[in-house]
Amino acid sequence: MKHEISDPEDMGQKVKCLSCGSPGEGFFCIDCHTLLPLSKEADYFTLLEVEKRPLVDPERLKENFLKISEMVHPDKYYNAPQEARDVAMGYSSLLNKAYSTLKDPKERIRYLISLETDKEAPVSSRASAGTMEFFIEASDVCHEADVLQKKGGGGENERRGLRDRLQGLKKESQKKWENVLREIETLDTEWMAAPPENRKPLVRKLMGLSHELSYLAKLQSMLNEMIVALS
Amino acid sequence: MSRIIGIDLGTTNSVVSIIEGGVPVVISDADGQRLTPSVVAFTDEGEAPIVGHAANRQRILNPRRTIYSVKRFMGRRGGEIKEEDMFVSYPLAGRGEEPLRISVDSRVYLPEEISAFVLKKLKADAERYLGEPVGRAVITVPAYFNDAQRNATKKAGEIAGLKVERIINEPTAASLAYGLDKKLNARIGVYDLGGGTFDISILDVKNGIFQVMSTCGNTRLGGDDIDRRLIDFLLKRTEEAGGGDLSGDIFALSRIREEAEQAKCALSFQEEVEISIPFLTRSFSLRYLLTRKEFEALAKDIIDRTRKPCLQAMMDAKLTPSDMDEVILVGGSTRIPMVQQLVEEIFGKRPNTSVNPDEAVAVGAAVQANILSGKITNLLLLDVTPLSLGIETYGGFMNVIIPRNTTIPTRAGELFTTAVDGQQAVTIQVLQGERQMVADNWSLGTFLLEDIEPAPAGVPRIGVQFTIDADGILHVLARDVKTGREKQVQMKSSLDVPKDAIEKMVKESLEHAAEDAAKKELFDTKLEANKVVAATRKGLEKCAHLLSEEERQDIHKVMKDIVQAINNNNSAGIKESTTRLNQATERLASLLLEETAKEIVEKEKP
Repeated sequence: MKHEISDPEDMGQKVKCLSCGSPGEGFFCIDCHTLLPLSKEADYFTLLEVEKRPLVDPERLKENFLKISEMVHPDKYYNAPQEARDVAMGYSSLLNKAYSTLKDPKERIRYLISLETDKEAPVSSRASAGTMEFFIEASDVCHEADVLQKKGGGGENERRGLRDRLQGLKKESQKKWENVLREIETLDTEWMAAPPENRKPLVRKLMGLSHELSYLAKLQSMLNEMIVALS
Repeated sequence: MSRIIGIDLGTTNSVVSIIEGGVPVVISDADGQRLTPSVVAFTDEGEAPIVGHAANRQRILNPRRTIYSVKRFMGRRGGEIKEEDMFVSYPLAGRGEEPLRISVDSRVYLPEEISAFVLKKLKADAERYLGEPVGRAVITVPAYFNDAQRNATKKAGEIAGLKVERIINEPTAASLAYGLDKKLNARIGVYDLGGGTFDISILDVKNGIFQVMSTCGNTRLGGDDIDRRLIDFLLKRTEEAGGGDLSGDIFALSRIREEAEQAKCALSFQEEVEISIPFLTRSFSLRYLLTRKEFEALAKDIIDRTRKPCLQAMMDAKLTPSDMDEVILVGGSTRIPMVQQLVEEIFGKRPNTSVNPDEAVAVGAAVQANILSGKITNLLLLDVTPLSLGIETYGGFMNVIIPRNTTIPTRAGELFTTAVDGQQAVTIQVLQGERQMVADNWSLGTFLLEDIEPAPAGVPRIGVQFTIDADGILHVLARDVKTGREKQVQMKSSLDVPKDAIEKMVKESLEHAAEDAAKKELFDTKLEANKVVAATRKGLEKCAHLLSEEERQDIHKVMKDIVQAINNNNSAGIKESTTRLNQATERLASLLLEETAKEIVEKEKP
């Protein structure tokens, strides 16, 4: 988000309708029902019409994403003037980015931290000792699988054995992932109870959880890659 | 505005479709054929080439100037194509970083120029059907096509005089065709195995919105590979049966290829097929009874190569086979029973074969055309970019900016700075692919950030915005954060060849073409001469005693001349002495025939 190229003229919440010039908010001009240019103030939560908090209902998020996609997708403005097409293109791109960020707990937490602290969430350095240990153990198995794969794949039994171990690790990492999500749930309740100015310690806790999720996500993609390679 | 047609530009066949009164129509050509072979044949120099069925029919007679399967070469550099993939009956040029080109007579064509001939034909067929000019099209590409391949397809359309309103992915197009007439709320997989490419896409369809969750594939895997396997098998059988090694004989190969393809298709519906090619050479006819079991043993590992992309796509969509409601089959190769079995095994359910595997993609393109023109308003396609996009960073690593399976259109920003004091320009390499190292990925080209105001290293800030549009094509915009200057950045790719470079290539390849042609001629001449010499030796063994001393000496002298000419690579000399040998051995040949006839009669005596 920080690297997004923003339009310097367009800093306010209100934007001018491209077609009739009236000021407006939201997606469409109240006066002439054309698509309004993007306001840069809108964050992903606002854009997708969900509350800004650690937990988001995935069904609701998806529903909103599809509903808004139908309103702003470039295909719907294909025969509109170039200006409106550009706006649709920008809107649609932002919407896609917003959805992919909010639907993934790891990305969503990182994004929320960046909104709360006004800077990007630091790239995860360390997770909890338990997760680190598990990460290292699982990486070793991935490495073993990689070596086997590069040597030509080994025998069918050997492959199946390794694949089963990888599947087991994947299940375990999913369980760990679920556990972190439950912690986020608890934090979410505290978050909603706390007044905005008292959320600093919660943000710190969220940061810790985001590191956990980063490690687990990385691990899962490694495990997936090796499982496919050995199939 | 003129209407927009939907085109499936396939490796083997192409199809054009429109929606009329809400009903999809596949447009036939003047002969009533709905599939147009993607084959372009050049006959007389200077004349427009023939396209489609007519071109396909004369493929055997004119193999070096009949261009097929050109989709395999779209947007590719010579260095990326494996030797065995170069196995076509027409001459290919372009090595290393150069784009692949096809030389025909005195001209050189880029693959998109050949594809443009096919598109022109489809455009003309549509115009004849509609009775009005057509200038706009939606063209499909394999989902796993990269940026360069998409650009080449777009260019092919432009060369054919079509404004390409949208490039869409083949499996997604097929899903639109499938969902057009039903209220679909389901998670579906589209398994698309065509002549030259394989795609798997997983979609979530809800209330008319077709959302692609993931896609994976292989842009050089398809029915062509199975044909090749079968051709190699038949070549081996031919050699075993005494027909000799025909692997260098383009005419024989073309005939075997045709039979192999037909046998493959027949085995989808019957258990065995009689392959019969009379007079494959002057003295050899091939007959072979091929069973489905034998065929499957030949094709198994090729078909198996579609398994991993399917697993990968499910993992990327975070789904398991039991989450999938349906798997739809598209592409001619999915008629093969073994393919259907594999799909069933992977997804744990019987695949859905209700769509026409040849036509669904074109119909989907026509649906998308009507979405764009506003005639269909209750459907929307949300597709993804199949490959991760990134840039080169220190140590030869790729830094991913837009990960694979990101919904398009999409934008991502990246800040760049300088590494040296006073540096005024930065070159950035853009990549597509899933591997860690730059060298293992596809380089889309480089762009130059220039006119940077001199400042200490690390101070300038240049924001670069990467946009992947709804066609899946990349655009780059750079902006100096301090001055606010913005400019569209041109990517330089070795595939975007400037005009003068093309002309230079044409000239060079002309020189090579002459060289290549001469080489080929010498090779053929030698082959022929060796055959005649070998036959003469055999004849002499048997009948030398029946010849006069003079005749014997004459023959030996000419044979010596031939051998010398062969050793000197003297093509004209070989030809001339071969003709003389043929004359000198006329009586020997008739004696040989008499002797052989006598032997047969002797043998048959009780």
